[in-house]
Amino acid sequence: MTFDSQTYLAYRDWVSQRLSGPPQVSVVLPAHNEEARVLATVGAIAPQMSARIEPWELIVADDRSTDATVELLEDLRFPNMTILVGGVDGRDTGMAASTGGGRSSAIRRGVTAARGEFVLVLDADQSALIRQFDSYLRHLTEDGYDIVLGSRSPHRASAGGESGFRRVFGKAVHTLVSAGFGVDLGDPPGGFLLFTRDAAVSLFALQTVEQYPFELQVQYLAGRLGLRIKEVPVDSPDSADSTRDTTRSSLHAIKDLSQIKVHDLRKRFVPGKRSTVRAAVDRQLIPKKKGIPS
Amino acid sequence: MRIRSIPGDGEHLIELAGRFDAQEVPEFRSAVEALLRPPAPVLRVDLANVVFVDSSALAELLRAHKTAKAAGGGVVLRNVSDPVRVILEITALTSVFTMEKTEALGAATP
Repeated sequence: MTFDSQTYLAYRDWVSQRLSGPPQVSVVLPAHNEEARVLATVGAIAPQMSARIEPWELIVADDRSTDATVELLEDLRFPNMTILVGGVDGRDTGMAASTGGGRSSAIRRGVTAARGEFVLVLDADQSALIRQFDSYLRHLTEDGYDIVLGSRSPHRASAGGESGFRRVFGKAVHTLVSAGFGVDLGDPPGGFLLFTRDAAVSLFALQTVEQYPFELQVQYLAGRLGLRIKEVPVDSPDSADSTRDTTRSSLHAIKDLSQIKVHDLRKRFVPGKRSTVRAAVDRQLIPKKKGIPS
Repeated sequence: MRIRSIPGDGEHLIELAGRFDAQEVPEFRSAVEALLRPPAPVLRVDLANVVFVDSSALAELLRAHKTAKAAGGGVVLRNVSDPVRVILEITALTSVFTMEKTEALGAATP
């Protein structure tokens, strides 16, 4: 085709030239055996982000993929895309690894490597959400929030015929969780998180419980650190769990939050002081334990 | 995804809008099946308003192209949107399909 749009030209620049300075935005894409859709996902994200003109980078944090996810990405040779492969304890091994730490670990490695002023963590099956990126970003730049958390929109739940019992149950759970855990547990998380870099660094330095849903940990720890979260309803057509049983997920959330709370009470979350954490992450190190601030 | 089918005399047009992914493949297949019959069917698939295609959708487009080619025709991708164009590029499928733009959107190219 001979007609190249501004968006396409911006994309071509992004895939042709390495950024000369730090990016404004880092997009972190955790990936586990995504060979069937990872190229389509990157292809959907790249022109959209490139069209914003502001410099951005893409970080794909592989989570122990055993398929061709990593090879497909490496073949692209995009200068502003970093592929973090396998590894444990935040180290990039540079080769496919049989071990890792699961999704939370992959995300943490990605966020730790991010250089952007803002960090977007996007699930590989949620690429459609990238089109709303600027509206999410405004909550950080104009409204003073530290974190924007996607959640499945209430109208989706009602459209699905949620019963009166579930609505009452949901409100009861919300009250219980708010009082017991200090977490404003709204609708189920919807596949993206956007942070200021400071918030991301502070939170992910504390993320040590790999087996629990990382969104819940973010909600819990953000409350402990005094970070402001803006919950944004999303109506993503590629949400794989759009028919999820909200009652069951609420019960799971309470169970997970209980375990996270116990983990915290045992002082197993790692520190602390933002400046210390920031400096440590800038050196690509994870700080030593100091105890979470109250 | 919205599908609008405009059958013609041997040359047909399908306009798609929204996301074209695995969930939409059955509907697409049933929409184009009758349009790929011999002799020499040419199916133009307008992708101006398609914001995303996944591997299942790409495979379905390839399947349609193969069927049409076997009958002496082919599939032409028309007004390919930027995201779809990029996805076709990085999956190395731009050389497989003929792509064109209508006058309203830009210079037509075979």
